[in-house]
Amino acid sequence: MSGSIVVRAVGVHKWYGDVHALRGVDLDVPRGSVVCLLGPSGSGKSTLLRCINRLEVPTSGGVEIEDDCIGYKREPGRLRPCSSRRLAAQRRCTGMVFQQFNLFAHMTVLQNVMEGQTSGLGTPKAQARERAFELLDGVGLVDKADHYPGHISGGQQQRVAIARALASNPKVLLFDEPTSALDPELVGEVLAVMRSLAQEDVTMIVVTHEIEFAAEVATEVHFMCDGSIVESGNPRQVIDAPQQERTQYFLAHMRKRRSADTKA
Amino acid sequence: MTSLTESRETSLDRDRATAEDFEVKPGLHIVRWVVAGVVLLFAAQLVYGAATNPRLSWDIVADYFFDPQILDGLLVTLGLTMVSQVLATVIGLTVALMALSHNPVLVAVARIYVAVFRTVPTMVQMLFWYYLAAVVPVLSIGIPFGPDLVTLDTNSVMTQFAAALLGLALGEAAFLAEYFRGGIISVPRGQIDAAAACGLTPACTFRRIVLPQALRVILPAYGNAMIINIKNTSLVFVIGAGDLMTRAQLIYSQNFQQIPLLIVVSGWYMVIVLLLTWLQRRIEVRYSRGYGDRPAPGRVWSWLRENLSTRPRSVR
Ligand SMILES: Nc1ncnc2c1ncn2[C@@H]1O[C@H](COP(=O)(O)OP(=O)(O)OP(=O)(O)O)[C@@H](O)[C@H]1O
Ligand SMILES: [Mg+2]
Repeated sequence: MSGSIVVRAVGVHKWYGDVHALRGVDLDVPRGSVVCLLGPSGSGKSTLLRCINRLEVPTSGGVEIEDDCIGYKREPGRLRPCSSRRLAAQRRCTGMVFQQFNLFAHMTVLQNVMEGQTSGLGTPKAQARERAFELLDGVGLVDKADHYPGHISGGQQQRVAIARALASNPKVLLFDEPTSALDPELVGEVLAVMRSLAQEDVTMIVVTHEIEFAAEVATEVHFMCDGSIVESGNPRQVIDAPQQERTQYFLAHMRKRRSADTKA
Repeated sequence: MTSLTESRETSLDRDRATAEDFEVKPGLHIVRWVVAGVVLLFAAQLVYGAATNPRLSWDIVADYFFDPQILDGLLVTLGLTMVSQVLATVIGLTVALMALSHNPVLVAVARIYVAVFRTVPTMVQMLFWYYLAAVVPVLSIGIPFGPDLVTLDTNSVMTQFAAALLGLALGEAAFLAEYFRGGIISVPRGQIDAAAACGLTPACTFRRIVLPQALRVILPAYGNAMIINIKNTSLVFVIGAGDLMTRAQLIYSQNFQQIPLLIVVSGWYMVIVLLLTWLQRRIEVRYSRGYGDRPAPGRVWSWLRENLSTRPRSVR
């Protein structure tokens, strides 16, 4: 395996009953890249992201992060399913940010950022606390450390979620439409945090409908449709000069909605 | 009263209200005061009647409240309550987890358990366990259809206390199982996803993320079930387990002072339930952290203070 590839999805299929949500997806994510997944609703973007940290179990195929096959342990000549304890450890190579933030509602902002370290990694409390404050400082929310998620704005919650996702020093960050649940004026603050992460060469896979963000920050864009990646390339290729009809149609549609939004 | 009814003539002169105009106590809620007065009057009549009725024999109530026999009974009642509550909690949680598992056999067993034990009345169950020896003379623990490891004589195991315990705990467990299940499924899926994504194991996720949030939903119903359980312990007099009620019954069957002794029993139950209610409130407050829940409403005296204060409330 090439040293510069962090995440590799290999022939991932996912069936939900009769629904073929992923139809053999292959994806290589180089270290330090920002990979954006675009595509219409129901095309399987979330499913692919959730297969990467095995929140969904692929029906066939799998995901490799560095040399670890997520959900498996290597035995001479073959793979065997691994224990849930080991899977939890493998998941710490990834951090995930959800559309609905999903902060732990009964814990303060600080406890949210510490939880993965103390309960997951077994880091001593004092050390986890120090790291949590560093991360909160990074997203500009040190002063909210003792607030509960229900008492801060959506944009602030999502920034806390990013700090929480970074807490285990993951090799890749997974974002599932991180700004879709936010009021328009709060989108900017979250995107700003993501931009600065991109500048620090954090590897990210981002499902988004923010075409402008993708065009500006992504190093690679993949367009998904009906459970497959139908077009890939750098943003200039995919976003500015799409070759596939479905990509063209989708982007034209998004632009139309965008201009309607700004007019309104 | 003048200071209370004194109102803001000043603002009437101007046609636009200023911020200060709003710094006036809202009106006096005459109806509220009248209703409260009438209710208090009736309550006073009731208390006065009870206190002065010679046939209620408050002196006998006082004599027996700390009677050694009654206190013995109280200990048995408390013991029964605590042990059966712990047992019911453990069984209830187990049944709830079985009902939520992915194993269809466990799910079916859990459903049947709840169906059966929610149905049979507590008193019937106590009698049933008490007379178990008639149908199952020997209890043995071992491999099903295989050799026995431990064998016990049913009659020696199934004491009154044990029968009462089983009757109370197994029935309550069926209810608790449903409360636990409801609480657990009320925790949004996203919380579990987030915990998994943070690298928590499933067991750790349950302990650190699911259970604390489920408890917020479970606790009010749990407190209720516990209070019902405490009162259900009084049913054990049918098998003579020597609890508070049994002792009181023994005493009044000799001195014929039924009502005073029943008041003694009620008084003790009231003390226990009040203590537990207080405890429950405190625990509930702890587990509603982060939900912006207000403390329990309806504090009589904070209401009085607010309504009696003549000072205008300042703008916050
Ligand atoms: N848990 C599930 N059970 C059944 N079907 C599912 C489940 N999750 C996703 N699907 C189906 O799989 C397909 C892909 O869904 P997915 O959520 O990955 O789409 P998406 O690209 O993320 O869409 P969106 O932009 O709306 O989030 C859809 O047809 C969806 O209905
Ligand atoms: Mg999605």
